[in-house]
Amino acid sequence: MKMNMAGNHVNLQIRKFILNKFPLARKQQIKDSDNLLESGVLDSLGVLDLVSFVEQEFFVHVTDDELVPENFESIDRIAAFIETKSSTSRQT
Amino acid sequence: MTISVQRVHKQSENQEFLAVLQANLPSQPHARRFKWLYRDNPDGPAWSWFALQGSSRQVIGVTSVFPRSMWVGGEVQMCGQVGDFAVSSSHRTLGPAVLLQRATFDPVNSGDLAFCYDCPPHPAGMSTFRRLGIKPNCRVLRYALPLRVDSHLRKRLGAVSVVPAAAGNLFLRVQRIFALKARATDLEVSNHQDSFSEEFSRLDAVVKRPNAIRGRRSAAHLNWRYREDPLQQYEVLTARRRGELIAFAILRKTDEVVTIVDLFGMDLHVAALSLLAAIVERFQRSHQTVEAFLSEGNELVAYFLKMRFQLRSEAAQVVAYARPQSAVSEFLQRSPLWSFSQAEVSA
Repeated sequence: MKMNMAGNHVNLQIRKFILNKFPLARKQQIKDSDNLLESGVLDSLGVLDLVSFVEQEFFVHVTDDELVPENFESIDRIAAFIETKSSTSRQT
Repeated sequence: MTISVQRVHKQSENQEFLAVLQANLPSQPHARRFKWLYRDNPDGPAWSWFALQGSSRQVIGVTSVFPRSMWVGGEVQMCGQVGDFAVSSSHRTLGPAVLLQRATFDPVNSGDLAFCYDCPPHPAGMSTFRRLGIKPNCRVLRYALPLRVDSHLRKRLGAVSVVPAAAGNLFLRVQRIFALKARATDLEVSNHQDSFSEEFSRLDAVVKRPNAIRGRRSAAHLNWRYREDPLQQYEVLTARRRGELIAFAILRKTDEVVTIVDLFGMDLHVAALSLLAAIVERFQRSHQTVEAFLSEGNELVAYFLKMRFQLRSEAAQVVAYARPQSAVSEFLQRSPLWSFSQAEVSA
């Protein structure tokens, strides 16, 4: 339960950032599972902004190898990626 | 899933390479220009890379570096221009693009090239460089001179545009009268329809500036670039003094726009103005606009402005990569003059 709440909080923060930053996201009324790349909400410049946000807000470091669709194609995926990175850094 | 980058080596890989290029950069018929651009360049064949997805090794991106002989601080150096950079839309998460961009540095790091440069035309193209912490070296700006207003007014006003268009065209011509008088009387401007001969190589060697970077304009390069291009035709104007080649201009035309792809030579304070005046006079009845793309600091800018060209927009940024701590890297850090036109920006 605690984990879900944390996950929801991450989703909300990402969602808020994306809606603020990308007008197309507001227009399309995106859901957390929507593919942000295929819908055109995010391009490479958008990903760059999103990565900066993720690194600053959640204190994780994103490597070039991690900049792949599996980690950034939807709000759900981004949140899951942050969770994984955070738990990895807590363990080390 | 991991992304890997791999050199394109085998001829059998060309079809896959072209398919990715065509799917993601559909504005060019890539197959028709492939041999010319990738293999027949007198400066050497292109380096090309695939970005591959995971274990399936599906190609999700490609890029290339085209070798380009350049004058760098008064010396000829082999450099490279990054081009045909394409990543499939489902993978534009920056990771594949960053890996491909890093791959383009390989010929520089191995010492095959003095530096490579890219000319991203839009902000999204800068995202990989921002990620890599590389700043642009200069901007390339579009300058335009309206010759006629017919087309513009016809689109806006329809059939009633005839009288206003005639008045507008007359106004533009009157505006240009004084500028057109700036041409030198001892220069003869004419069409050059033959191949580029060694006199062009000699002119290229004479025009040296110790703090500048520009493309080399050897006869071999000019013939390849402008006479053998399978997709484009170019017109060439020369300015001569008593038969000696002083300067030349390369033009590309569409129905309405004449693009000055290159204007190069010596005594530009007279030769550039004479060539520009000849271009304006020649096309002022048939075309709507003359345009040119010039880097910030290019000495040609002053002559284009004198001929009443106006700055319209940013067209590209130039971003160069040299091996850290190399002599070229230090030269680039000293803010050299990037003397670029469309000739250096087009891959």
